[in-house]
Amino acid sequence: MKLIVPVLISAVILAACGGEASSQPEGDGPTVVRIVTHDSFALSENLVAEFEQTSGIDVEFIPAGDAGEMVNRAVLASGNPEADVLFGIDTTLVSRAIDAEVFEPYVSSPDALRAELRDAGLGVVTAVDDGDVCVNVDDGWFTAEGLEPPVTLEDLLDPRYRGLLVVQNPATSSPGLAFLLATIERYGDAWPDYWRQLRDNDVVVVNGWSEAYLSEFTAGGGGGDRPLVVSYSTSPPAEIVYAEDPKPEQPSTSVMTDGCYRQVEFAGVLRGTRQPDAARAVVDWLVSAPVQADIPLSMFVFPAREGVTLPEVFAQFVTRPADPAELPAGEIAERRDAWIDEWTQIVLR
Amino acid sequence: MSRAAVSNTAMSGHPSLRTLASAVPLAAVVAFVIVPVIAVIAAGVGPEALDTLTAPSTWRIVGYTAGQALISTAISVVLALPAAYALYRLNVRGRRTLLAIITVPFVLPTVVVGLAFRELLPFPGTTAAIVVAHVFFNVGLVVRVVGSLWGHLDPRLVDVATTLGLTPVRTFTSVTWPLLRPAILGAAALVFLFTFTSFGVVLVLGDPALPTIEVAVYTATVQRLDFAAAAGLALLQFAIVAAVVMLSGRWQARSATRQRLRDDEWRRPARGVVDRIGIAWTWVLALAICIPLGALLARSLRVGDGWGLTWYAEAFAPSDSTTRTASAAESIMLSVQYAAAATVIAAVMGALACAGILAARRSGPWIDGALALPLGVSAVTIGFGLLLVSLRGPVDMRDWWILVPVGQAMVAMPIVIRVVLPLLRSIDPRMRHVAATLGAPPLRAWWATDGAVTMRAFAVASGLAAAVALGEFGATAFLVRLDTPTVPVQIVRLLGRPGEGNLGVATALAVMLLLVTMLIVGTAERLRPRRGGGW
Amino acid sequence: MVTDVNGPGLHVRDLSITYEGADLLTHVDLDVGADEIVALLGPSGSGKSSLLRCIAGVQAPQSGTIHWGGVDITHTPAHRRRIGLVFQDPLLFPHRTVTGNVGFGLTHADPQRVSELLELVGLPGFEARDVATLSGGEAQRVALARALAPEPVLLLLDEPFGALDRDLRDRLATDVRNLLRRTGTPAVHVTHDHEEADLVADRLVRLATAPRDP
Repeated sequence: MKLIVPVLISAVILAACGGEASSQPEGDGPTVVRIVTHDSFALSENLVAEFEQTSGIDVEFIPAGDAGEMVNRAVLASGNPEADVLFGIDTTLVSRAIDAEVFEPYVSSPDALRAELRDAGLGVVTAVDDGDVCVNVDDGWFTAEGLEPPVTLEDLLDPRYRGLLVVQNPATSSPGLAFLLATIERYGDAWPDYWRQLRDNDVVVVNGWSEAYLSEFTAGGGGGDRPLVVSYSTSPPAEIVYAEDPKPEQPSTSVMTDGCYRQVEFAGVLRGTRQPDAARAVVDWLVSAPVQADIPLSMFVFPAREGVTLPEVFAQFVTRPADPAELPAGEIAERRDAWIDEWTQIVLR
Repeated sequence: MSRAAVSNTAMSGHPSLRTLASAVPLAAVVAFVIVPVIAVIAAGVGPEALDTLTAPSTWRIVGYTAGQALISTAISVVLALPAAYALYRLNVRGRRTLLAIITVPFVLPTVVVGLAFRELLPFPGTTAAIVVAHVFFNVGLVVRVVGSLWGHLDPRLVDVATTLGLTPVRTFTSVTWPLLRPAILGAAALVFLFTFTSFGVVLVLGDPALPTIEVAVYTATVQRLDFAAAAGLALLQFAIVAAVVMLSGRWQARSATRQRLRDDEWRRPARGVVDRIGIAWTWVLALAICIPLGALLARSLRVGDGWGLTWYAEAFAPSDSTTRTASAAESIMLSVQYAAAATVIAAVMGALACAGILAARRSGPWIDGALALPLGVSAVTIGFGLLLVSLRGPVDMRDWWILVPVGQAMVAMPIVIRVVLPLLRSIDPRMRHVAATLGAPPLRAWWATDGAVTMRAFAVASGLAAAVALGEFGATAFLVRLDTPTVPVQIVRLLGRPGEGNLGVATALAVMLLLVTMLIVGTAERLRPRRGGGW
Repeated sequence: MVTDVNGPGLHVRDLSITYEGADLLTHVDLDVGADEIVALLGPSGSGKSSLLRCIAGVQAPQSGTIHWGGVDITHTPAHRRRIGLVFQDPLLFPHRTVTGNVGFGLTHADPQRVSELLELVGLPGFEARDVATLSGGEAQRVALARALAPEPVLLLLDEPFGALDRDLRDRLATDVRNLLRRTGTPAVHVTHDHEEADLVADRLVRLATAPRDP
């Protein structure tokens, strides 16, 4: 009995020492580049394997929660990063990161990108994809109810659509913030009134996209009861792609093109990385043709590279809004926190 | 014929050496608790911090935190008293098992318990849910602390009162209650502190629109990088905790009486209605405690509409080659390694601290209080502070594997001290003298008398410390590197992504963590010496 | 001394006490007159304490009856029997002063009576003392005063002087006897010391197996 305790303790210490040794990657093997991303990141595995073989660089993706958390961690660690590359920072957050000197400026092959996206990264980060945040509509539900779906932001205030909308908290969610910015762009200083009325019209707020789309949305497969959700313009084709065979001819959801917000996603080299060359090579790879061609069906956004053929299902079923809202990065950087605070006071209190 | 000695005067053979012994743990507390706290406050101090302190929303948060803590404390105490009576005064069949069941929640990981209740209660995400979980955690603490004292009260005092003509009710109010009061107050103060700084439970189970101070500090830093708000709230929390500790200390000192405690716990058979109600109450309490754990286990085995071990299999599946998130097996291994290191650190520090406290006769209580500080400083503050110190200070500790165990050890050390100190104090130095006069050399004499008890005390304390470290979440969330999460952090991450798969794996992980914790604590408890009260 | 259970005084009949399943005392009969002091002698462990506890009502016997003054009190709760009990340990309430202890059994605070009792036990002026500061003999006297305060009909003393030294014991024994005589309180005084028994009691009873009246 008396021996058990010291034996246990020694065993455990030995195990601990073993653990310590294994958690220190040293530069003897292939170079390892660590990419911190948000939880919605996805890429085809064969692409990654191919890159690792041809470049000799091992790539490790580290999901870090939602976009906001990820950027905050990076800001906290500015100059002393936990990874080498950051991918998934979008227009609403990029100015905060740039101000905090999170990145080492590097823009990969700007001429290969679509014209409107070349300077979007402010010379510090590289645009990798873009998308539109729009209200998605469950047409099937509306048809069944015999109700005309809303068409404009203004329509959402209509009592006919009371209790039908779910949005995300802009403090925690990237699309949530994008939607808020869209309303700010539309209504200017009167945006608080819009949200008051939206709140009175029984809008529901959740923390993240997954919860909103997968749990609350009627067409999300989670048994939700809200047929209007803030999501992406690419959600309808996604629905077809993820459907079981036989695949439906048409998506049962569509997109409200009014009140959309254009979001660009960037990748950047983190300041203080110990292998800047390898990190740059990875960023180059992210905007290379094979990866860009894979992005639409992996992450349901649009490639930033010029001249990439979109998959069939995209071409058929995606309506990109002609005139999405966009606010200047500087203004967002300045007023974002105040806007979120005010929004919280109005909607959540 | 041993007596409850107040200080072990025979230990002061080398007073300077002994007092120096407490310098090491004190230095650790300063370096790894005080300095991080200062870092947090420094990061946010400024005019904006004052804004936080005066904002009505801040005081709403403080009021809510205190309110739910008070309610949780009151209910815990009320539910615990009859059980304390039954388990420590009466001969109850299955006493050790009942006691084990009722006290095991205290060392369970907060995240696991939060998840269990989230799946069980029909009203998750409300204040009531948090209170239920808090009571679940803390009833055992009150039973243990109050019961230990109650068990040592001379029952003949009650007989005296009865023969003097007092009714049973008046006997309780005039004799038992005044003598129990110090223990009840002490237990209530502890429960209040734990529920006031509660984090994992509130995060997983609370109303998102009603944060407690701890959760507010977390969201302010992680979601908004609002250091001013975080610092202001952390400061307020610390002030309130310090006030409660001081007040309760005074209260206790005033109502404490130098009591003749019996050395053994003498229990009598149950008789009468009151006794039977107490026993029934205890059984109901124990059963109620088993329910959430059983529900969690059931949930982890539920796959779709049927049952199976799918989630466990998925938990151990090799990690996705693209994303390289840590598999469950890796998190478990990591958690155990961290906990082991933390336990060793806490045990060594605790040993030094106890030696120091016992040797320093006058400043002993002060040292004890100082070393208990981490209990009152929130884990989130410690974690965040350590992170800040790493990022902005001269040394980047984030690469140090040992950083997480150090944070956990700081939280566990007070527990080690709480358990071991009373046991050490109860050792009668005269026993050693007796051994000496019988011819035993000093070391053998020490081993024969103090040694065995001390070793076992440390085994018990280490078990508890390991459990605390395993389940620690508040500090660890800040300190782990992204790709090497501990199990509690992993669980919360999975919970943040809806979908049955993630929830399923989270429950499987939770059950595994639960079982490991119970195993460790169960083993430690078997080593607990039969006498010597305290925690 | 009357042996009729319906007569005055204490009458214990056929009392059996078990402890942890084993028989401690079986078929005990005991009679104590309403005006006498009886010493109960017997070796340690012979069940004397248990017998007293049963008579006082803080322990339940296996079987048998207890009568006082013609009334069957076997099932009367202890706090209504008005039978006092003094232990070997003074068992003073640590959270109260001497006055608080002595006056504990009084329904209304009566400082005068407390002072009277303290005088009776030879501790005048001890009213405000902290019980932790008392010596063994002083504490025992306070315990005695406390037991007498509510004017019990019968006082039981369980080796009250066992922890004290010889001289003190003899002095206190005499004092107790005089005190009981003065207050007219009958008593059962348990001891293993023959001399002490002689000093205190009118009559000696030996507890062996089935004690009967001589």
